[in-house]
Amino acid sequence: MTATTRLANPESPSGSVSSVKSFNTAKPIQGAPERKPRYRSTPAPYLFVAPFVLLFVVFMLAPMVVAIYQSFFTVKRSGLGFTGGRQTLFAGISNYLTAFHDHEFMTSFLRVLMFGVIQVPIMIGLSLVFALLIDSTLVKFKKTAQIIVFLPYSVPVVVAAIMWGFLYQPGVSPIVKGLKSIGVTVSFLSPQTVLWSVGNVTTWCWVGVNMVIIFAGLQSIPQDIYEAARIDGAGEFRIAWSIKIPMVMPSLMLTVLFSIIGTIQLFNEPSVLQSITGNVTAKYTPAMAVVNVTSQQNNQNLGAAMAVITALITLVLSLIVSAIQQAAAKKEARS
Amino acid sequence: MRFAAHRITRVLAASGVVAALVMTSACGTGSSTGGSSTSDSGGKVELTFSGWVPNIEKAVDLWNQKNPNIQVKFTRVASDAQLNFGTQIDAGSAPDIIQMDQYKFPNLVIDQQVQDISQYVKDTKSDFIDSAWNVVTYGGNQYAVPQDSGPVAMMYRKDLFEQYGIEVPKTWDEYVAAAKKLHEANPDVYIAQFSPNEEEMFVQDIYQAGGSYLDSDGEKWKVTINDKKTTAKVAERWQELFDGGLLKTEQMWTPEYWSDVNAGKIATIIRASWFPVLLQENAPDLSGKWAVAPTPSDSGDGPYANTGGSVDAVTTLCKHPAEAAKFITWLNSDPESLKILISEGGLFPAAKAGYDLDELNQASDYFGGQKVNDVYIAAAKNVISKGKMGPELATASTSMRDELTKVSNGEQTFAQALDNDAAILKKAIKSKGLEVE
Amino acid sequence: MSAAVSQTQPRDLKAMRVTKETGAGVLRRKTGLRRSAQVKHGMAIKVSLWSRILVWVVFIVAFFYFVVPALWLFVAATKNAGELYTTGGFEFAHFRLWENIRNLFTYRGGIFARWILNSVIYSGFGSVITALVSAMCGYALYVYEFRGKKIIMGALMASLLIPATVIAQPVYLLLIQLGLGNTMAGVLLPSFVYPFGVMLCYITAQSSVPKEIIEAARIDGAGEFRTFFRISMPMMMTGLATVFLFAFMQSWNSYMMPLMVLDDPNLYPVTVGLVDWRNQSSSVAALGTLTITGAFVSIIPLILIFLATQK
Repeated sequence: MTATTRLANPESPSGSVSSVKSFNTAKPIQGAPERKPRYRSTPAPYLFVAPFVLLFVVFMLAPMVVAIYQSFFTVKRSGLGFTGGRQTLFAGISNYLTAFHDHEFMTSFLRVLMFGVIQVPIMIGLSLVFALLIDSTLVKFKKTAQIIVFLPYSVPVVVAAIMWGFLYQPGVSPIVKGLKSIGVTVSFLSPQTVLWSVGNVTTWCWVGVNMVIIFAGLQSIPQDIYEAARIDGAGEFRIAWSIKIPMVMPSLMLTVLFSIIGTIQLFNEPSVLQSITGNVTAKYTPAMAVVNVTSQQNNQNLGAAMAVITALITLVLSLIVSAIQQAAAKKEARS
Repeated sequence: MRFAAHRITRVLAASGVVAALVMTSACGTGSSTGGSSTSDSGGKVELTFSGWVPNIEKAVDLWNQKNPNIQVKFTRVASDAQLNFGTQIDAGSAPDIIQMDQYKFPNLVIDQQVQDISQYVKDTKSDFIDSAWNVVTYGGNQYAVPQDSGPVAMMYRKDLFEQYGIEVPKTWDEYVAAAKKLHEANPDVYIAQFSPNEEEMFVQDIYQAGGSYLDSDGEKWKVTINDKKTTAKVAERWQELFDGGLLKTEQMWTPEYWSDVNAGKIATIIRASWFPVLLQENAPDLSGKWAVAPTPSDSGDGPYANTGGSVDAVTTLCKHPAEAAKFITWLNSDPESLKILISEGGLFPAAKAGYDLDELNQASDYFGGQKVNDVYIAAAKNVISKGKMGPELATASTSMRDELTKVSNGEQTFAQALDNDAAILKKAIKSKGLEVE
Repeated sequence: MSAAVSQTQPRDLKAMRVTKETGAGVLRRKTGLRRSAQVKHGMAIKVSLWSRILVWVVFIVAFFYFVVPALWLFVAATKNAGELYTTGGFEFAHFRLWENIRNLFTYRGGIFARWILNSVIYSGFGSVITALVSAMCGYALYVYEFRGKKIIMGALMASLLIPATVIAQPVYLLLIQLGLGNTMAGVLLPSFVYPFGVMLCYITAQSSVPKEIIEAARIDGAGEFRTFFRISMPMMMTGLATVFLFAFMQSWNSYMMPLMVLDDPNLYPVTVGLVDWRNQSSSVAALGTLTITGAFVSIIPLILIFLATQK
């Protein structure tokens, strides 16, 4: 499921924030207002949206409300548990307090935060560099270049993690052996390095998609702008830095936003690597902690509370990112 | 974004539909969509059964032929499905009979999702080995029938022990001495590997010493995994081996591990009855070099640990527990059924009747013609059966892995790992609202 | 891969030259500037010095990073369990690929083929429906003004922020209540909810379906649904293909929800099946090799589709 969202992230092909923004403010369609009354009487719009809205309410909204509801309850048992039955009781915020006092759960947030601060810029940076290179006149083999960078996306994350798992283990890894032969000893799975080994799998899988999103943004920039710049004597690097990057900023921010959401929900990569190293613990990331509590400990109420906390932190971080983005846009507009 | 947050609250407030859904789904009182179809039709009983033992269908077919009035319909599920059984029982859609891993099973007993079948199975106690019977008994009553067991023995590199002139150890003291001698003779050879992810290889020694995760006095659960009386000696021994650099620290099941085994770095593997076949598959080139001996013990003659297996239980949805109990008893203790489960399902039975079957005990070329299961059967007959199964054992074993990882990183000792795990287990049981000390 | 490079490169270059020439031509005609051609020419010379070498180096490194690890899968798929642990990662032992593939497709009555089929249903069929559901909603949001429109839009935005882990367990509870536990429908139905797809369709409709055309169709007496299916949808095809592709990749990758909903291995998609094999490989040794071969086989069709769509 987290795989899904991780995937759901960077999936705006042409989606730039500017288009999302126009969506957000839902500006009236040109020429539409005066016709508005005429459409009110037809049931057509409701029929069109019905399938989605119905599915949305049943499989997204209702479950969310259920999760919030569950998080305020607890199951009571007594004695050894063999007799006396189970009772579901209102627990107030006690599940939330338990979650906040769970040291490992709280640590997992710090861990993904650190992961996000380092891995997201690297991944987005690489995506940007590749997108710019492929978009520039420097690269003549555009299709091939795109395929190289995008290829890992066709490998499911779970399979990619299994694969990299092999490449991390000294006894079978050609990388470790190769480095050893030139006198460098590396351990990809030590407590200090394993987080970055997870990050590498994530980077490997997602650079391609993010590149495609940024590349699509670049493609929508009118060509004559470059032409004008070239006339003024600007080189490729100058064009990239002063024209392309500012203009593609909305797409870039979108990939950053989705990557941050994906980071908080990190699940598949670490849980696959868990089988080859003990240094990925049971509650290594918030999502893993939620799953651990829900299915291993069978405590759905506590699991729901943890999930809600995760959602709230995601919300806060997303708001911060979009606030930064808006501030930057304003500054841009002023200058 | 602020726009979005504002909207969502309105949407939530507006949806009365959702409130209704909340009530039905959260309380589990919705209409029973029941997959459990125990219907009487002319005295004929139909039972549904879910499990994952390979080819168990053949045993079920045999039962159906012999018992026209108790027909069992088997559905194969993946072993991961067992995590869903609890939810399905609450929702009224679980089968009548379920296979469960013995560590995950106690939570169902505590949530009263499986039936007390003592009255139907009590008399069969002597058909099963004690330690397996222990696993299905809670508060003096039986809640399942044991399916398979995992007695422990020691696989060892006969050639290496001969080459370096070292006796195969019978006691733990001899084992530690052999570890030192081996490593001295060849620094690349280790007596065993230490795998934090295979925490049971450590815990099985605690079982052997008479320890367990939990015990109870009939009123309260008692966390005993750090009980010094039984565990101190085991923790000290592991610590000595680890500190002496005599163990190869390696996660089990990884390519790394198998490459160590293949390279001859590991001289003994103390593991349950299902391991020899895996060794054979993953290290085919070492054919003829391995042999099996009893696990070392303090006395040199047992007792031995049983790492257990699965059980078959009757859910609370079943309307014919007597018939269901009859079926699972037959399935797991009748020689005809056991023959199928052993030879086609690869099980090592929990029922004593299985130990006399030729199917279980055949000479293995890989082990130099040795009848490997001679050793395992002897171990099964001399298994220690103290300690109890209880709630949250899955939590305890998961956190044991994390704690042992810290040991392997030199952050703590084995004794500290046990203390920490005990604290985690205690907290988990308490959070279920149960009494624990 | 190197073969692919040499094959595609000339074709790409030719295509590029064509577009560049026409592009420049259009521009020249538009602006009437001759100078631009000269400037461009001068630029080209500057580029072809060391920076082109740098670009080559970058992409050779990229090739090693992105493509070579995937080649490991291929090499591993040609080995048996013993060889996997005793030979190097990029070193061939006996070439057992065909033997492994045969074992893969015959293990337990060919269940692997079943998983591939299931994945095609979940991802292929499922994503067509997802795209359709999204298209209808996104289109309606663009074309009509109606009560609740703003609520839907707000909910769409907000739902992008909801972690899947929040709703996984409740969704499962709900599916059981509906009698959809352990069914294909149980996997498919929740996957149809794809808010991002709706947003994408809204944007697509906005940019590719002129309001005047809808108006004209109405005047001609076409019903609302007829207008949508006959006129608007074909115009939105590029956007819909994108939604389909992303929905496809998402469900092809999805792991946790099918794992939760499905108990019966016969209903598994490939990813869940492979991870199940991998977990079982600790007790059924032959599965180790099958998992690797299966992983290799499962990405082949995707890579082929991907290469095909690139052209």
